[in-house]
Amino acid sequence: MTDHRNLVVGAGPAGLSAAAALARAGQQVIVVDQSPQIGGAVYAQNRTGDTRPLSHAKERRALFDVVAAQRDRIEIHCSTSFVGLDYQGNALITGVGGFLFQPKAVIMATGARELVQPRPGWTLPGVTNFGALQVDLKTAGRPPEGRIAIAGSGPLLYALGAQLTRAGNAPVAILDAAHPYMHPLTTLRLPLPILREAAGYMLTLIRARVSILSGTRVLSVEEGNGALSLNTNHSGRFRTVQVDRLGLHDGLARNDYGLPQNPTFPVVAAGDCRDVLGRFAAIKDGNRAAAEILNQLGASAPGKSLPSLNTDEMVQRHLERIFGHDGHKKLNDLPAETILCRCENRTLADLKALPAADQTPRMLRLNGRFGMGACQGRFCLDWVAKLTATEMDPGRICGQRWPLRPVSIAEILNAADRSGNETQIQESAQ
Amino acid sequence: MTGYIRWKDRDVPYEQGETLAQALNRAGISYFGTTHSGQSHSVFCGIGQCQNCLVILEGTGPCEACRTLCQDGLSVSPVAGAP
Repeated sequence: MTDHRNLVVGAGPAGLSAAAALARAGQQVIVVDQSPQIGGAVYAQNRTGDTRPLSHAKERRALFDVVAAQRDRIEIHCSTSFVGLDYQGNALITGVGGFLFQPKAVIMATGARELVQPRPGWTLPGVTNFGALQVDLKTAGRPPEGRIAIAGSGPLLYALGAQLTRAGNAPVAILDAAHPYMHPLTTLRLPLPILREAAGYMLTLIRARVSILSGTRVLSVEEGNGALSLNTNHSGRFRTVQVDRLGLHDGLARNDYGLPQNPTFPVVAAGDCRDVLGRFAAIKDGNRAAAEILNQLGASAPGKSLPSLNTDEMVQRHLERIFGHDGHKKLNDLPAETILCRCENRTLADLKALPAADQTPRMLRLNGRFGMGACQGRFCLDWVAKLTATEMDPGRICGQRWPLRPVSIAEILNAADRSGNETQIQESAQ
Repeated sequence: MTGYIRWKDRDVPYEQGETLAQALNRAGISYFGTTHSGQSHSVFCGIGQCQNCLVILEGTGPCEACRTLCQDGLSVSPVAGAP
């Protein structure tokens, strides 16, 4: 039985702007987000009660105001997970106030996934994604303690480095696998607000004398004497850096893992979940997704032309050029015992030991066990796919999934069934 | 400090709005136990995508330490079988 409400999964910039746009057109919307507060990773809020403004405070305020203006039509549930759409089109929601229902339409705004290239020692405690450091910093209002190094590639290295510095714990080093300074012409083609933001970050880092090592890779991480030793390589010069925490980041990918393509009602992806273009594009793309849903539902959208994403796409292509490096080509050279799949402890040697006939999506899962652990392949399949002879699409190995995340039987039982299907099952059983 | 959670046999202080992972990390605990495959349970993605920070919340079962807020009296332990 179709509910009168639309479901928006993710309360970041894309999800919130989509929910507000649907509500403005008269639609009822449920927004769910698995984190304790709205805003997504980029607009994560300080939870300590400290009212000092954080980064992007003005943008966040503007977005939250747009949502607050429609509060009669938008229900928001935090600490609540979307588990998936089953074959009947029922959406299972678990956590605080979990339930099962059939939404009118779904907007998936689950943001991005961080890519972190495997290397020996990347599973050690203290080695995290950038996102973990950034969300810690934003929600606790203070930087993680101890000596921090950040490594990998992309503009976020410098953004996070500057944010940590401003918060009072400047990183020991920024180890950038790329050579961003070698692309001055491409850099100058970036729009002014982006250049200004980048210049602000660089100024903070230079003033704090943060050591920025471009063209430097973290080859491996070792643990000893309560610290992490990073073995680095800068064009053949090897150096060891001692830290307490290492943040790794090798780019972002769509977090559209295993999403169902349900033909019975509209399911539309928005924001970084559709294409990783950042927060400004995500807000615009939320509006676009809402318009697409309204169009598919045959409802009339407020007659406003949608802003173009051309500039955002151009910026992304420039950034990819500036921060491009060939790290993924070196995956084959990793030591054989390097763990690719963190959940099931599957190594590069395990992958290489699979016979050629097993290099199909199905056999990589069944015999290789890649993508079969608790993270469902979110952190290994990109690399496993690149290492296959045909460099297959990681989405093919993943396939469609239900549930989209691990869920306990208790959570399923606690989810009230408001789909109307319970009655049907009972009737057909009689 | 606004309260304490229980981690194994010790009390760990937390501040308002902190997750289990934040409070544990700040107390110097970054290793949360061993996974069934022998890896360390610890914070990795920090946003509920990787399941690497699973701990057992007494009375509830496994939960992600990175997205579970601290509350007074919460008792947290490594997943079953972990040392």
